[in-house]
Amino acid sequence: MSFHEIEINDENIKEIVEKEHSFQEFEYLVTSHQYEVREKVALNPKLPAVYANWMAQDLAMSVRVNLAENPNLSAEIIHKLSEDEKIAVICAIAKHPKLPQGKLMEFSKHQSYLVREAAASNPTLPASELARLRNDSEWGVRRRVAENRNTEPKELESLLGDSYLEVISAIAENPSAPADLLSKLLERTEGDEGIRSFRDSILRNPTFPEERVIEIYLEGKKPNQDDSEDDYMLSNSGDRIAISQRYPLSVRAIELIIDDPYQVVRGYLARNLSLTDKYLSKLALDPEASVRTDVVNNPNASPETKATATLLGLESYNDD
Amino acid sequence: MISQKQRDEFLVTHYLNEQKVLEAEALIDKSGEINELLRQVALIYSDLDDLENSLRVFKKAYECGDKKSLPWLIELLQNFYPDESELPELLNTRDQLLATRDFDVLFSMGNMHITRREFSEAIETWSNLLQTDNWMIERNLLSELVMNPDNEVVLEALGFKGSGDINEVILFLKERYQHFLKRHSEALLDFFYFCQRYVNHPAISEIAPEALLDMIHGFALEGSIQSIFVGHSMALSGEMKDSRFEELIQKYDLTELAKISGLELETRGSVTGSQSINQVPTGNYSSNNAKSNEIFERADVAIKNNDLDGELAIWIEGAKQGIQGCFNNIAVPMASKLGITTNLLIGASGGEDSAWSPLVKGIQMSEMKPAEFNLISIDNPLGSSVIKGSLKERLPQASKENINKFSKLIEYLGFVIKQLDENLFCLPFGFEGTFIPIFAELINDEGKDSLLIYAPILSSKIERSNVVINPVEPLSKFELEILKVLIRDVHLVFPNSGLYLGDSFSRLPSDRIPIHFTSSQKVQEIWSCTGPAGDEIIVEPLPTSSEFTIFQFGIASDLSLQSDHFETAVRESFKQVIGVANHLTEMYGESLDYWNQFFDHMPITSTHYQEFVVDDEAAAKQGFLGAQIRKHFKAYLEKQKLENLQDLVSLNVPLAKRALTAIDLNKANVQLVAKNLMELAENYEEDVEIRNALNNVGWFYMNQNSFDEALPYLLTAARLGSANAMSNLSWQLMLLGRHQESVDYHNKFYYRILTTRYSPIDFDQASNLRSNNALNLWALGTSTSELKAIWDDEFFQGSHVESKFYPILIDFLQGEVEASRNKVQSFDDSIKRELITTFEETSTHQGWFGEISRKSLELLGHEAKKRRGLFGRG
Repeated sequence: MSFHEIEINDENIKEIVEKEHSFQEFEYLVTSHQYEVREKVALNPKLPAVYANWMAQDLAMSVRVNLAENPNLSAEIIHKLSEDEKIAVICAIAKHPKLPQGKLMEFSKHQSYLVREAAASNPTLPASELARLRNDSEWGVRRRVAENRNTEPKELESLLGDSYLEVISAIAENPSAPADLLSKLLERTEGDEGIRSFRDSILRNPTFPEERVIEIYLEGKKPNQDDSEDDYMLSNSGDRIAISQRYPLSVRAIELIIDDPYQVVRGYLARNLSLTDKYLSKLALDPEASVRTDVVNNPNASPETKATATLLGLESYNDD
Repeated sequence: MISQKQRDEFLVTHYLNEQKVLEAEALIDKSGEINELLRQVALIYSDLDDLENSLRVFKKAYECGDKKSLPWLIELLQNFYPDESELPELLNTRDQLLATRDFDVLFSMGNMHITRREFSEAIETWSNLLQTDNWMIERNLLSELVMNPDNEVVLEALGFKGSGDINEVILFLKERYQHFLKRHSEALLDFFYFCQRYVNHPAISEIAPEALLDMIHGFALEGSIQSIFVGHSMALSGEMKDSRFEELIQKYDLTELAKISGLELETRGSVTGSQSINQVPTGNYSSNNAKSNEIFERADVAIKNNDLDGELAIWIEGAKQGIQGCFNNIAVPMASKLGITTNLLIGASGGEDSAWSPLVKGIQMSEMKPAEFNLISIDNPLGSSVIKGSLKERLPQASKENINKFSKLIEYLGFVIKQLDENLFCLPFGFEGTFIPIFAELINDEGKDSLLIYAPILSSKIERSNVVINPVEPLSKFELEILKVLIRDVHLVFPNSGLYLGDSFSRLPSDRIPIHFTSSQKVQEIWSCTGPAGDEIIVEPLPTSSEFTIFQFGIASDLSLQSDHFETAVRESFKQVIGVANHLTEMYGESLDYWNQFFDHMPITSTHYQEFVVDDEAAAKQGFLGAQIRKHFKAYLEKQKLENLQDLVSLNVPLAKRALTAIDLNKANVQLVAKNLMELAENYEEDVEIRNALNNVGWFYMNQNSFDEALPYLLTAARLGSANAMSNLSWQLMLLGRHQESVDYHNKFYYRILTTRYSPIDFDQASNLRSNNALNLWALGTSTSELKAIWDDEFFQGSHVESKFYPILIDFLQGEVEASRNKVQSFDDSIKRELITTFEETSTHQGWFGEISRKSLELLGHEAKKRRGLFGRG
């Protein structure tokens, strides 16, 4: 048998994970002697059931862990993986949306916090069980409760008082967190640089009202900073950067941000999938090459817009 | 490009330095882009006691939007025109801005206090801003310290923790400036002038002028005109052949600007000049220390003679005596030898092929980017030293709950770890052909559950004659310093880059940061690991011929750490302990000369230990399993007596049975070997040694013409992933006509076999077993198109000879006689001979494949063997 070694690079990984391979190609990948290849193909949503069945008995734990993350598994494979002897595989399958409720409830009461944490992040875990896990002794479990979309607002509110910043930060990212809760949380971030990251999460959270976001954006544009200092925290470019990454963005917000004086903000906006070609064509004329490069990388940009940006020059990366 | 605004800014600054306020103001007005400099013009006017102009320009600056001018303007009005009508409104605005803690207003108010030398008030005004790591705020305080290093108020405000000794203050200032260097060209220039002021201080003279110049060049490239001129002056004054700045002056057309500013020809004093990097210290430091002077003078002679080895030896000597500056100077000659260069911005690079580079780079980089950790000494005996009872006291165990929490995490992380005791675990880690046991011990220390992850790393020096040179000598301060540098290397994120990106424990709660520790214990045994890594490995302490001291390095973590924090602590502790042990092992392996200069102890991985422990015979008598296995195995190899093998397997440990995989089979031993290997195989789903050995057993029985006896061994070997065994199995079953049985086995083991191919034989045999399976499928009636798809599969079958032949044979059998013959004729003669040999052997077979073989020979143009006997049965 000829020896085929596949180079593990970003391009190949993307192809192995995403491409709809032929049945035969899948067999080459699934039976590869390189566990790294098997790890990747196990994630492919188009993986045929017969091969998923083979992979469920792979000796490499990491292959079974990745298989458990594959969204298109049969009930039989899910059952097999949920009986795996390795806790890492159990943790992976505990997050699977198709895991039967009975098994999920069993995992949410597991003696290891690792499994409870995984179960708490399962999108099908009922609100009542999340409410129980809200009092878990491990903050990792509470964090997963805080970021689970099924967690009820009153439970999220009670988690606002958690002693771990990681838990509170997870609330900021939860798209089901009510707007008033996020507003309350935002107030706590005022003047506290240590919690910048979850201020960003709130501003990016689609539940947080865009009206308020626009107000914050406009406040952030006031020239109250010393330009020569160029200090990130003292200027409000942090807020503006976070807002430019928000998805979805309304036309009004886009039209405000598109003229931002800071090229980093415009760059993030150029990457935003809310932008139609109408706005991308404007950003294609941006004086900054980095912004134009972001336009070219936005899948919503038309060929004409990409050509314009390219003609004006893109950012060059020199490995030397 | 350098913009007109940058040129104007530079020129205005020059005018202001010359107190040419009229020129400065005129240029600001003309430019229209640099109004923030008006405040500086107003301040110069005030220095010149020109009240009216000062007021006028402050007002102008404030009207242009410069809020920093507001406090100055108010101050002047209050002092000289308290009845001015606009004063109440200005005061009101200032107070409103103060209420919102406006940075600009606070900045100027603090500066006013500094001007009046009211440092406590200035620091009070900036109390919140001091924590924001703000260069503008800290710059003024640092400048004050450069001039007045004994200003205790400022020292305290900046977090200085030392005694106030000038040397400590200079080191502190150096560190603070270096903190800002990356972000602000002004910081670099301030740092440069600070270096000039303290050029004779060892901490400054150690800075390579080339590195400083490289940094200035970095800012010069970004268009800092002042950096270009300063760099140019520095290169000239240091007589360095560095034309980069000259080129930038030409490139950016700055000649005229240089002439106007008078900087072009100005030769500044510099940190280079005639100072050597490792100069003899002067001033307070050396005058009180004759020994220090002697060391530095000797080093200077070595430097002048370009004697790197001599220089290194002198610095090591000085460092061992605790003479300041010597430890850091060690890195200079070593860096030259190893090709390491250091740039303040980029960090240390080069010397990647030397095991000593992490130490050299670490010494160099820790100067500018120190790591914050303490290395404490633990006095209590650790569990790994008392497991066999040589020491009596033990720390109480952690709670069962925490032991379980740790075990589950270890399993989750995929570590194969051996449990030695209820609370003591061992991860045998391979280093250069030997193992170091990495221990994890869960203890309760004064009511708090802790996890200690540690490993023996050094020991007393032991000569080959087994004489212990220094049985109780502790690690010296010098050795501990080296250890700290090595820990820094594994602890910091990107330790050798110019940027500080935190350390392994940065994200953990500040009150529960794991603690690095060393521990030394007198012992008369050493941990030994026998066998391959995994469950079978035998970890046991072997007695040594004399008492000696072992030194352990480890990290203690609070077991109340939760979730990701706990995982980080465990992962990083293992990583760091392994990392330090690895550094020491490689350093010792690469250069014994260096090692003996630096260390008075041995690395734990030294091969000396093999001679230092008691011999196998004695250890076996004392019941040590590893020694017993070696003893019995050796005895069998020497005497070939079955009873030796029986003794071996009667130890009833997996490793003893594994030893049988290395036995040559014969009629006398095959049963014993086969039985025990089968028992061992029950513990595994895949194992190369066992599967190959079982395949050999299968072959042995097949050679005895006993396929039925061979079958269970071949099947077990196939279950463990042996392509060879499965290939043999399917061939034999095909010849016996047991096609369905063969296909079933093939399907059962196929995935395991293909995913555990390691050797070229595994790959060749995998092609073979696919081909053999296709033959069985053919016999079962599978369509010829499906069969052809198997054989024609280039990816799997590659150059497998039979796979090329069978599709042609199918065509031949389907009537394409001529075309098939032509294809076969195109085969190499060697391939045809190989095929003929195979089919000749099977052509006399009575079953399905006998007919296939005869047809194959016909296609190959070779006559089949005639059957012998009257009834053709031979």
